[in-house]
Amino acid sequence: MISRQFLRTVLAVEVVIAVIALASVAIHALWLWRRQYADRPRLDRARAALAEALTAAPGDDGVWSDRMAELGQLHRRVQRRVVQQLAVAVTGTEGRGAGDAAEELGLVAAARRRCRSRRWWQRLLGAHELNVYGRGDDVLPKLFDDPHPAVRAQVIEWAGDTHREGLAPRLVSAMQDPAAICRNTAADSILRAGAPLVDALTREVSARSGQEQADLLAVLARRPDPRYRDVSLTAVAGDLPALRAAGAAVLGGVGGVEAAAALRGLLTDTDAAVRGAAADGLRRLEHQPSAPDIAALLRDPSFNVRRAAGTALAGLGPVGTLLLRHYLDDADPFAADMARQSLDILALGDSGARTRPT
Amino acid sequence: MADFARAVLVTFDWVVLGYFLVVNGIYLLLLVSAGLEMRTHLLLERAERRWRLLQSDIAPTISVLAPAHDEAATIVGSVRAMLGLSYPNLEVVVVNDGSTDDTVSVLVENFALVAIHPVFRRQVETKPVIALYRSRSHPNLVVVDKQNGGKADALNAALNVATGQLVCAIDADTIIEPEAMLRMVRPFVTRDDVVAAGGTIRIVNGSEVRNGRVTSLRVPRRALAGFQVVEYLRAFLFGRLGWNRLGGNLIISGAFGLFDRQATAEAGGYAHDTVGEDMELVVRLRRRSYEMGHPKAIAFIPDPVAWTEAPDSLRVLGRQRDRWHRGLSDVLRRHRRLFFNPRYRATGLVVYPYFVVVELLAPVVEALGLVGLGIGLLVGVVDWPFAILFFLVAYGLGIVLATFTLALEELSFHRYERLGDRALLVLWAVFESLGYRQLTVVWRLRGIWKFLRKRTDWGVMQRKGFTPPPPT
Repeated sequence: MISRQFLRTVLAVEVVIAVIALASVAIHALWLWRRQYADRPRLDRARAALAEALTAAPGDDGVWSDRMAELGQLHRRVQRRVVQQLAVAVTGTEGRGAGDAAEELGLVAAARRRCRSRRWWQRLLGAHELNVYGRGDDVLPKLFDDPHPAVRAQVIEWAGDTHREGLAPRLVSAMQDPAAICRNTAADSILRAGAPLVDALTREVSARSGQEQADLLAVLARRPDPRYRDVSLTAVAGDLPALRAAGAAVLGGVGGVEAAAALRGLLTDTDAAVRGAAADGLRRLEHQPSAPDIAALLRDPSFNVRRAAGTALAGLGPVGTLLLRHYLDDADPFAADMARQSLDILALGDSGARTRPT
Repeated sequence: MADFARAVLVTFDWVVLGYFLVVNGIYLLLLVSAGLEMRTHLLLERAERRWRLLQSDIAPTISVLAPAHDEAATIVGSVRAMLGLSYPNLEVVVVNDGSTDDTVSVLVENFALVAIHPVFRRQVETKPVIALYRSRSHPNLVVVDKQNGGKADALNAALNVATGQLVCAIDADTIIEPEAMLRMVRPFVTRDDVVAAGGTIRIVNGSEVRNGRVTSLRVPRRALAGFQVVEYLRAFLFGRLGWNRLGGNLIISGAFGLFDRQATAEAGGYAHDTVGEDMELVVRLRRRSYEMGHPKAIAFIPDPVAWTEAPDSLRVLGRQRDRWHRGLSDVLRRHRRLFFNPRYRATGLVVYPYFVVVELLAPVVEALGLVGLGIGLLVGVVDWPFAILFFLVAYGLGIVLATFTLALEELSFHRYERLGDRALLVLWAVFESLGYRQLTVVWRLRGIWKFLRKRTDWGVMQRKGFTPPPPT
């Protein structure tokens, strides 16, 4: 039989663990409850002081230093919370003011120290704080090669927010990061960076090739700019289907005679994704002369290409509608079906809503 | 005779002890794993500006799949709630699964639906589609009208029509948290190897619900619902979170789960002939990924993402638990090839055996233990003090797990704000092992029995509806 001593020992261990767990529940609940009530007036005071400091008349250093002194007496946790709340909510002079307040309160220095920590989560929080305060130009670039992907992603986000041309190569390189979070953050940062980085991005995309260039073009296709036209025209002549498809997506956004001609040529590409991207691009350009070529794709063996063709024709105005009607009696039942559905959707008045860039 | 009984009981004792040690070893591993996983999750959460990535143009498109059968009375509210979910690229696909009421006409009237020619990729076989509708007022709403084929068939029809990169299966009676999609999509954005993701489902009984949102969260005052709150917390925050770190999740709740559309369609969609179609799909996706040479993960996020109403009568609860255990038995039988099969790595060597030995057979061992203890007392082999000690040890473990889960909840999300609610939760955690747990053993044994007799009925699930706010 199992010995009683063994059972008693197990029971004692269970009791100890349960008591520790319950005690932690009780202590934490009471601590939270107390903090909630204790922090509320402090937070109100801190918010009021910070708002007063930031809205003080320029040159009124007395108000600024008084309010900073008042904030300095509060707990570091309260200071951090209030300054961060304000920093993410305001831009311009007030935003810079929030950064100055963080600097004066020692929050920036503390965040910089965190960035040098051996613990990844301390570095993550440090990088996050510096990004929020709009500081950290001296510390954050060093974290581009951090071993933890979350820290790298945070720095990539900062690089996008700074809109600095010099950081464009790092952003583009981050699109090849082994961690998905870094690649996706890099793509997002490139899109958010917008116009200030277009020249730098044009140079970067031109300097790359193959899949790397295809990945970057696929991102740039979401915010097309005429400066990407030349590199896209080169890309659509490439060997890699992904590169041709990405190039077609960009050309559909930037337009021009050469772009339309190139897209028209891609309607007969060997790869279905490229044909679909070309049809979609011509729809975006509203290029009516290519409507008959697009209509021929209603007989394409690929469902996605047929759908792209139907949507494109529905978006090309009367010419497209006429061709869709013509295909209602087509010998190919798949083409006739797609034509009919496209006309039905056109009648709804939302043509183009169906096909989203993916 | 007494000697023989003693010999049998002694042997049985050692078997039970061995089982106890194995199970506790795994539980200990899961406890540590769940704690570490929660810590990592919370640390990552603190850098909250990462959320902007999920609201950007690069966030994957999601199609919400909503099967409906005879739901004319509630469908408009459900669809409006789905259309109101916070997510940038969202499509809602409602499937009317051969309703005999006015479900379709109600939808047509309320959402300005217009029939379009039904053309879509038939990647998964389903019962015939009668009509396809799109909405003039909501361009991201699609309604499929099809012949009745059951929930799995309806989900498959929705899968065929959906255009999102990810698909989200939602039960019509589930309340979704406003930011649920943004939270659930995170594993797909941050990792390459995720094929499906699930989150924590919580019980809404006793709480106040207004306009499809939980406005005041309370712990149920009734014991049956209270025990289930503890059970759900334990299952999600301890079990699934623990397995998440070890890469062994095999379950995503049917109430709310997010799947890679392409992978799901290529795997054949939902199985029709099982009562555990949600678990079956997850196991199949994992198994297939190993067979294709690219192992994929099932991600679990501990954040509460959805709320469901728990049965508050023993009869209905019993039917639900019996069905869940039948589903588990069926899925484990279908995928028995995984059992200790090194081809499926940890899933075959650790996770699948765990589900067989611990999840499936636990009620059998527990029942045998109780019966053995009773016989031992009757024939005088076991005395009362020993029996009580044995009982306390066995059920003390349940209490340990429950209290640990409560500590995890308290230190992480602490969604129950009132001190009284937290105290009540502790009370339910302590008393759950006395009576309620033994009942679940009976229901699960009934599930195994029905599975062996090849019963595949779902049983009727009666719901009372969500608590309206008090009149003002």
